[in-house]
Amino acid sequence: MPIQTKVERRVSAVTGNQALSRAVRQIDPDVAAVYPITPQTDVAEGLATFVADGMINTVLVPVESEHSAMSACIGAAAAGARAFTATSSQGLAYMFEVLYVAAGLRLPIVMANVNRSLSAPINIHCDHSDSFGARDSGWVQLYSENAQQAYDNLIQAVRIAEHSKVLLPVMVNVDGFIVSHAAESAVLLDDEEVRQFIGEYTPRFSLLDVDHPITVGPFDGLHGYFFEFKAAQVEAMANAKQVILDVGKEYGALSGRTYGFFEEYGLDDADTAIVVVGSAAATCSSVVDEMRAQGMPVGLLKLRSFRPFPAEELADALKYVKAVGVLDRAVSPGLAGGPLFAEVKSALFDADARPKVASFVYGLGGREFRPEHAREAFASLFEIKKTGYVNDLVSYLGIRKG
Amino acid sequence: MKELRVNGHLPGATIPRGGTARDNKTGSWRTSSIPVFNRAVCEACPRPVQTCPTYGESCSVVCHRDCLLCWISCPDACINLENGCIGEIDLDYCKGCGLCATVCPRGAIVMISEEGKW
Repeated sequence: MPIQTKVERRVSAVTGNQALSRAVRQIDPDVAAVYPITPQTDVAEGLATFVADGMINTVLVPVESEHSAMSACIGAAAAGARAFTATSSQGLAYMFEVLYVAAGLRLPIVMANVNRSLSAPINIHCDHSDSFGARDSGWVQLYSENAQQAYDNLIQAVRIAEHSKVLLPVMVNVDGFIVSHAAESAVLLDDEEVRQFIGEYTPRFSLLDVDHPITVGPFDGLHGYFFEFKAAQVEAMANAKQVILDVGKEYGALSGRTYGFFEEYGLDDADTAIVVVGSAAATCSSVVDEMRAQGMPVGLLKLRSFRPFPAEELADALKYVKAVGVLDRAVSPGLAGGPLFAEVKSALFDADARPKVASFVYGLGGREFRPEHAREAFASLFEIKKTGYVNDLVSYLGIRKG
Repeated sequence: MKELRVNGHLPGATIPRGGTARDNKTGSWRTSSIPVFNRAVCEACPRPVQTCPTYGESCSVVCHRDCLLCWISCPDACINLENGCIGEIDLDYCKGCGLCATVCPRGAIVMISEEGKW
């Protein structure tokens, strides 16, 4: 039973990392195995403080690496525990092989990933190369625009992961520094509300139940069912779509903030639109407001769920748009455009009125994304709408020339 | 939403019982040769050995009841003990690696070709 505390008021000034660690305190996971890494470090520190102060019952495992952090979470989850970890960048990359194990064993681990670029050159600031790289690992991936969403996503992640038709690990992504270290106001729930919302976790099996022994992770040879288990994982990810909507709606009834796959911003009558994940969505929405005040029908689609990717819903939301710009805070060298661009374009391929799509890469290594960059993207989209041609398939926003 | 069972198996391939490694007869992986144990050679090994044929004067192992080098070296634990002595080699799990034959100070285990048996 979580210990009831009266630490938080309903409105708090929190950084993204504080929002995450307070959500973890309220979730009160059985086990947290965390290795500190910039810019996630104060999630680990916040958690360690809560444990040291006896505010949560969590067993904190001070592991020696991220590979061990995920491995400890896998062991704990197989034993039937609610397990949590948090990381960034190189840490997520170091976890890579065990990410697939967590998903393949169908363990509902929840992880906060504070997005940071991958070396080299070494850089500690935000981009989405880390989590986009783990795209195919079988984890549900949610993205947060601000501290409020980081908090809300983490609480919902527990319910999504543990749903009996899903049973997949969930990664909640939060932009490093931009969100993780900037204080803003957020409405936090009461401890009891969170406790009621996430409910008691009743695992199907426990590795530590010696009276009912189980085998976890058995060898599946050439004549086994590896292929079918992978197909079942895909099925579970498809099931996660409905669960994300249901949990988002239920969370809305509790908090007043309803969540879906994405948020549509001025899309109803837009003829040009931007698709974006993370904190840049906030910058883009202020530009949309400004341009709409000048009579320009521009819109925005703020993507929250990258895995599962809501291809049909996204295509439906963009069906009246003539030109779509996809903003990527990551690159895939050799691919024409950013990773998100490729997925959005693929989702739109079968749309009846297939919009033109252009890729805009921005913000790598934490390069600032300013309103003028969003305006620049919209200006390109106006040109595409006018001519019907995409002259520059890939543009870099805010890159230094010469 | 569809049921997640794969051919009767549980999600993530979890099996609701223990000791399942026994079901996997690793002996089916054996490709070329099987170990044949010659009990007479093993028992003829002087006890205690004065000069170990493998390790010489530095050998601290007392053969043969206390030798068990083959038993402890087998990576698949398929050399069974009978009253503290080497007993049958369980070919259900033996992969034919030949480590037992290599470590035996007296050559009491030899690897015999299995070719032609398949």
